[in-house]
Amino acid sequence: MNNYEFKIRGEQLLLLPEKGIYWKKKDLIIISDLHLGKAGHFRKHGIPVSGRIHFTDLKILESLLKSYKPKQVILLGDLFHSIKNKEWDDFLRFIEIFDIVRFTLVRGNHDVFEEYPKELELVESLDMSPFNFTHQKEVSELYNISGHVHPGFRVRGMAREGLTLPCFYFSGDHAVMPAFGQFTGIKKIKPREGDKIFGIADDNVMELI
Amino acid sequence: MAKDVVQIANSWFKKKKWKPFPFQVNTWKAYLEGKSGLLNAPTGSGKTYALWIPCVLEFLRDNEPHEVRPEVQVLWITPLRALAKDIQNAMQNFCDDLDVRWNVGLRTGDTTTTERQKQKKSAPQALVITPESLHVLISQSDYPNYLKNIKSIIVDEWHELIGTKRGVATELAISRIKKLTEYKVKIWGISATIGNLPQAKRVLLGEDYYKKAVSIHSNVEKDISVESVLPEDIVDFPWAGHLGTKLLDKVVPIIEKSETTLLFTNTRSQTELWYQAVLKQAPDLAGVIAMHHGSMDQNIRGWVEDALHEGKLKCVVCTSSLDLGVDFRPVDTVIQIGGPKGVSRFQQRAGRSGHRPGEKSKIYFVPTHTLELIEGAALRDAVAAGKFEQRKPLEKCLDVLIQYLVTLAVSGGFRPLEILEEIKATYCYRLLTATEWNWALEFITTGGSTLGEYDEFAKVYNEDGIYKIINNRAAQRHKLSIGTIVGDPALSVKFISGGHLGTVEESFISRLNPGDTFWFAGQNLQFSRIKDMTVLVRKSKKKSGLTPQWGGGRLPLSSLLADQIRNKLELAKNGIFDDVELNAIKPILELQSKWSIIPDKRTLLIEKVETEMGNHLFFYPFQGMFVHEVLASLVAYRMSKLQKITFSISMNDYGFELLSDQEIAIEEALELDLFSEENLMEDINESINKTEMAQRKFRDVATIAGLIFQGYPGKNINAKHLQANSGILFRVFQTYDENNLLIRQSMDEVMTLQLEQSRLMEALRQINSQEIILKETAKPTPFAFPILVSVLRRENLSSEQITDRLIKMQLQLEQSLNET
Repeated sequence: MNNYEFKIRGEQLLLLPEKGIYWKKKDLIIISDLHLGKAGHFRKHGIPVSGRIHFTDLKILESLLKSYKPKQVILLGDLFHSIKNKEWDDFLRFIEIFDIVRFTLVRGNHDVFEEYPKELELVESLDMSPFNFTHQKEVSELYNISGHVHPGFRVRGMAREGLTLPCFYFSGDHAVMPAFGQFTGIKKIKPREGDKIFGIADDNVMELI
Repeated sequence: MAKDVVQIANSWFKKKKWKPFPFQVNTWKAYLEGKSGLLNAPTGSGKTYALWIPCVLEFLRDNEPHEVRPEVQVLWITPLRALAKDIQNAMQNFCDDLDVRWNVGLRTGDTTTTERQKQKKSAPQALVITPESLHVLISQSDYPNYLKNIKSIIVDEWHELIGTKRGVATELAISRIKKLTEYKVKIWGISATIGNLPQAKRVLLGEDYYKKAVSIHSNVEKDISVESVLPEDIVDFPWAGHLGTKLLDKVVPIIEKSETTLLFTNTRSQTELWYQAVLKQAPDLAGVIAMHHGSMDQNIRGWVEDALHEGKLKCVVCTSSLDLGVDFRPVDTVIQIGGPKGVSRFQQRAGRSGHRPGEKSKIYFVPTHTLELIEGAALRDAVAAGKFEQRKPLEKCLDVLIQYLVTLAVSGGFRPLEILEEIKATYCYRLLTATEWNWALEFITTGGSTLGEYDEFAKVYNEDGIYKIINNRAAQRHKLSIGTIVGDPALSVKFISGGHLGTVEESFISRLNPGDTFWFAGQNLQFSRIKDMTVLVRKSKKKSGLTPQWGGGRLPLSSLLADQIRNKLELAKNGIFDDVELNAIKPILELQSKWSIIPDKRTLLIEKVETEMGNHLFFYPFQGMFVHEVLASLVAYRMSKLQKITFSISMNDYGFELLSDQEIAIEEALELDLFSEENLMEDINESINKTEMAQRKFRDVATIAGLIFQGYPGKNINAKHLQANSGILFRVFQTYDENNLLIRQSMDEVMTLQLEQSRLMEALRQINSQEIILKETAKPTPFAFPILVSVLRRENLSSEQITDRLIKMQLQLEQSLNET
């Protein structure tokens, strides 16, 4: 496992190959776009997708919580894919087990429940200087960090070789997180001059540009 | 008594001052004796009258003429909507002439809801229908009553359906109607000549019918002459490419001196490009030149077809959308742009001209690049020898089966054992195992697993032994998804001021920005915006713009034609250049000999060459693109076990290329027997897994089985949260549901290549009997060049870690940055 230490706005961020960020100073982990419940939603509509895929999601999150022992987890939106189904109960059990961790959900376009349990703090956006957290990219005086896009980047080699990798994207005034969930796709992004992109290859986070 | 009714047909012919062909009379008689069968007759031979007339005669024989009941008596299945209208007219006219009060209805995807309602209330006596619309009919709850009085099913253009999933859908529908009519229905097919007619008959009629059925041949032969359009100077002619507009100044005079020309291209984009190019070269053709392809609005297509009939057009640029069916009498010239890839297809197209008896059909072949000229000579030989490709039927398509079972569940439900018995009588599912059948049932009821991880699954319920769908929305969604043709999601193209032009694929439009212009249906259009699955455009005066790309449609070279091409190369190798085509490209072939060799039938040529891109290997098995795709990944996989390496794979119909940024140890690999049949299946499986081939097949399989909902232009159904691209689903199934038979089917479809099952094995056997010659060349040879520049379907296969590949690629990038 190779993390990547990246400094932005004076803050030291650890980019994790599990597709999360560990913010050491605040002792918190940020992940985005879990899309839990998507398998169940598909099943309800007659498309048989195994629910085990979301166990994998939770297992990876569990391993992060165990190795970094953060005080807080910021879920950067699209935690749950659809209206409630049984897979929501699995997540409730999960946050019950980790009750010493504070879970904060920054609401995404998929987060449509009328009520959320009190163990899960719900906000529309979150300011923690020097950062402003939202699900979709927003203009802010602070440095905006968002998800939503599920960014990926294509790298090409000389012998017509190509690889598309999920990535972290950092530009001058905002950043985009890769999607954490297993049942998600990738949207290729086109960086501009001066942007930074970190790709996830196997167990490593590597600087691509 | 039977004799009397045949008399009616004879006197109708007499009144028209025609004379029935013997094959027509034979078909009438066989039909009236209650037989089923296959009629082998080409388009334009009077095949419609051969089978439509006895349907009406049978009615006249068994009923009083005025006893017309609102019951469907005849189903006439046709593969193309465009043909349906003409057939309907011909059929209706015959009834009207005889004063039989039959109503011939039309049922395709274009039929309006009002018309459908009318057909439901009062059934027409004959229904011209596509396979898809027949399945939609079966998804309606009262279908058993609607279809149980059918006397016969006629499947037109069966050669187009056999070997496709639409053919399988036809087999299934027939199996159901047989049972509904208590096995009284007669089944007839009409097929152009293909290499496996007896098998075609068996597949259509089913295991329970085919042995007693008859075969009738029309023996209407057409004389076809093939002329290649040759470039003036072969040195200037491109070595690669597929547009062919380089020969425009030779093609236009052919159009000008002809009455009416059909100019066939291989793809819809090529049609758009050629239409523009011809008009630019000969502006005076404006108004008498039109285009025709499957993505254009059907009203516009209908207008073109009518104008063709009436002799108002001098030229129509078209795709296979004008391949089939009705004859356009004024057509006297046919031009084929680019290799048609198969002899049968070429003959069919050639047959579109010269309809008067005894008249020769002439077809001009226009090559798009140098080597394609060999195809021209090969085609002429095959035509002269009267050779036709086989169309191999598909077997055990679980995706089509699943769709069919859900269709039956929608329309009131089905009892599994009853349906199993029916489908076991079809050719496609005759070897279906109990395990496979049970898996399909499980898949639609519980999601395919008994482990309980599929809770909340809702699709088909087992209610007292009857499998049915309860949820209305699920039923509705299924009805909209019926069909086996999978394309990229299509968006309709409309003027902002109103007026529908046709459809383009989403992947094309997503590349455009508002204000960009593109060519479509012969017009330059400015893209404004997308609204509700509709692309809004306005007319543009610009002379430039992009041309839409449509997926699919690129066919691989048939093995028959590949064989002919090898014959021609063998002659060239021995210095014989008798054909004008080979003579024309003599300088290029001599260059090939000088830099490398021309392989004969006993030789497999491999060329090794280094360029700034890396190290290339070119293999030339001449087996067609599909075989090369599998063969290339097999070879790449086996070599990737010898060294840590990443390959980029490319192919065309003549050969394939492996490209790597490092030295490829080919000499060593050849010593270890690269083409060995040992562990073959395992290695092929592994190589398919390591590329995206199976994943690509899975897209179609998953869509047909109802796992991917495509959405429909104009039909606003919100399924956004249910959309996952097939790549994600494929990986999810691979990881979490390894016994999923749809994944298995996708793998099988790669291996059996959908079309010609045993071709891969034959190819390997051939290679193993050949002498392998490895040539190192200084530059890519004329054979290598078209593969090298091809951008089609590049595929990577690697035995390296992603991290290692990434580090390497970044080093390369830095190097190239430092060099500049």
